[in-house]
Order: sequence, then structure tokens, then C-alpha cells
Amino acid sequence: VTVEIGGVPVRFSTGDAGFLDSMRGHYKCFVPESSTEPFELTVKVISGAVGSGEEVTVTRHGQRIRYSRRGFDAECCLASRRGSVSIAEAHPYFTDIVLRVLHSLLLAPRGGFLLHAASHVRNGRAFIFAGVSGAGKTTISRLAPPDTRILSDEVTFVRPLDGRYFAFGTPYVSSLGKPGENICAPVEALYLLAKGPENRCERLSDADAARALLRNIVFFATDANLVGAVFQSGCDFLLQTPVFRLTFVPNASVWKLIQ
Amino acid sequence: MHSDGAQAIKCDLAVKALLDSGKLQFRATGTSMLPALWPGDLVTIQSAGIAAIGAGEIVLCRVGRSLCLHRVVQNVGVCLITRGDFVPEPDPPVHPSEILGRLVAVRRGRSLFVPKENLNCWQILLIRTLRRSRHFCTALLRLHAIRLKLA
Repeated sequence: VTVEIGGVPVRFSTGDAGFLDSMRGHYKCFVPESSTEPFELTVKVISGAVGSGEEVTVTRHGQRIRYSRRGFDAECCLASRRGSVSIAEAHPYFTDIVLRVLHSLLLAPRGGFLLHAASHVRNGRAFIFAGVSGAGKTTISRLAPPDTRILSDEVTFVRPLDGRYFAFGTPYVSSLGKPGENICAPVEALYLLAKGPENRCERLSDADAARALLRNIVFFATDANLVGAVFQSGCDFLLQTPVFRLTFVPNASVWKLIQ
Repeated sequence: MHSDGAQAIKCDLAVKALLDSGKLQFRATGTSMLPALWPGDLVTIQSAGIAAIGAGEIVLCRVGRSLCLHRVVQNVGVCLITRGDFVPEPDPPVHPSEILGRLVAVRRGRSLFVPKENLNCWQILLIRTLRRSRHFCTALLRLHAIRLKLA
């Protein structure tokens, strides 16, 4: 089964038919009929303990990267675009994390990153809403008017195409329980969410915007080169994208501020 | 992409971090402070105002939307006169609002040291030689980069 998010395909290969069926069901809108040069990931479903710890740990030796946590243990080679993963069970919870980490690593050298953010497309432009858990990502998604299309209420895939940053839909869901659509649009603005007594939108300085953005980038590796690449991508993104602090009352009127 | 703009954002972020925490670490680039500082040195800056800074210290200043780490030639109270060790001419006067802090430590490879306030005679001799020969300067910088990689 190939899962293609943001134009970055990853093919899962295994002899376990149940695992593949589960993948097709969970990622159905993101399973293309064909794809070019996918990253090949061989999956082994293991009954028993695999990996340890609640946090993802990533170690790099040249082009080989190993990442694991309780529930899976993966090893990939960025140069040959191949890897293998031992996974405790065919549950979307684990495959989601495996994919997120892999995508964050594959995007780093390409100028892209994953954002812990909801996002919507309106009038052909993408609006991204970032914030810690409870800041209002799911709320803003629930309040979205009918002329918007959801990219995600949890994790947004961001990468440049022809020098312009685009946001892509992802299948990752939060409390909204609705996966994003498999579409993309150029990023118009990034909003940093906070619930408050009134609707207010104020533009952040570059330094504050950079801090807010870096806090919300989903990245697991500590390797200096990869971290440096993501940092550079974040700065490039900010050159094109205005960042606002959006304080809002949880009702539909907030969307009048999002233009 | 626009790397100059990205560089300006990085500088803004660094200044914000220094103002908030009182300390900042970053890797030095450029050659204007040779031989006291080399490209790739990990420098530690501590917040300081003009009144606390004396001649001979190396200070971090804001120049437009970039940062500059140069040595103080003279503190004239209302501004600082600074100059890069490798540069013959002094910089334009640095006003108190542009002064961010002083250099307190340098990590080069495995060694950690506090920069001296004066150049020794070998360093002065090296500056003269480097200024005379661009090829020698380039070769020395390449050698330094190789040494860092090996370390």
C-alpha cells in the first residue's frame, strides 16, 4: 500500500494482509492508484514488545536514521530511500507516528516541515492555525464556514513548490475526528491561536513569529544538520507568510477576521 | 529563497533570546576578528550595557538587522568605538541602544577559553601577514576548517 501525503509517497510492504487492509481503510483518500519513486518501507508486525519509551528517539549515522518509541522500531536510509519498521500492531496510532517521523525527515532537506496546526483552504488560499493542545485548533475547524475545505485539524504538511510555500492536507485527526482532504493551496497566513473574551487579530514581529513557528514544527531528530535545515526552512517560510496572533471567542464570527 | 531576509529573521530571534534570557550562544562567521575569533567558533554572549563595558572587550552589537562582534577601542560614554581586529579602520560609533552584550567565552573544537583583552605579539604579526597575502589567508582558513572537521 502506498500512502502519499503532500506529494511524498511511502510504500508499505508486508505479507500481513490484515495490516494492508487496515492501512487502505485508514488512509483511503491518501492511497493513490499509482505513484512515482515512493520511499520503500518494509513492515514486520510483531506480537510482543517492540521499542521503548513514550518519546520518539531519533539517531543518525550518515544517511542511516533509526527512530523508535514504544510500539515501533524503524530504520531508514535516506540515500537509498528504503527502510524497515517493526511494529507492535496494525493500529493507525502507530502507523501515523511512523509516517509523521519519516515525513519530517524526508521534508527537512527539501525545505518543508510538518506543523502542529489545523489548516483550511478558502478561495484557493490556505490558512494555518497553530497552537498548543487546547488553544482552539479543533474549535476553529468546527466553526469553519461551508466555503472552506479542511486540510487538517491536527498536523499540516508544508513544503515549497516553485519557490512558494504550499499547505497540504493530511489524514491525521484530532478531536474533530475528520481527516483532511487530499488537496493543497498556497499558504496565505499563519495564525497563532488563543481563546479570549473578544475577537482580535494582531501581526507578530519577525522574532515572535519565528518563535511561534519553531514551537509548532513537528520534528523529532536532534542531528545538527537536519535541525539547521528545518530552522532555515522556517525562516524562508516566514519571509513569505505573515503571522498573526488570533485571539477569538469560540463562535463563527472569528472567521470574518480570516481573509 | 531570500537568504538575506532569513538571516535577518535569525538575528531578530537571537536578539530576542539574549534580551529574554541574558545569554546567547551562536557560531561566529566572517573573518573580521581574526585571529582572536575564527569562523565556526561557538561564542557565548552575556547581556551588558554601555556603562559596564571597557576598552579591549569584545562586544555584540546590532547593525541594522544583522549582528556584529567587534572589539571595543574606546568607551566614550555616549557611544562605543569598535573595530574588528583584522580590519584597519574603526566601525561607525555604536550607540547604547545597539549594544547587546559582551563576549564571555569561546569554544573552538574541544577547547574552551575566555578571550583576552589584548592581542599578543604573535597575533599582531599574524594579522600583518594575513593582510599582506590574501592567498595565505585563504589557505589558513581552509586549514582551520579541516582542523574543525577532524576535531
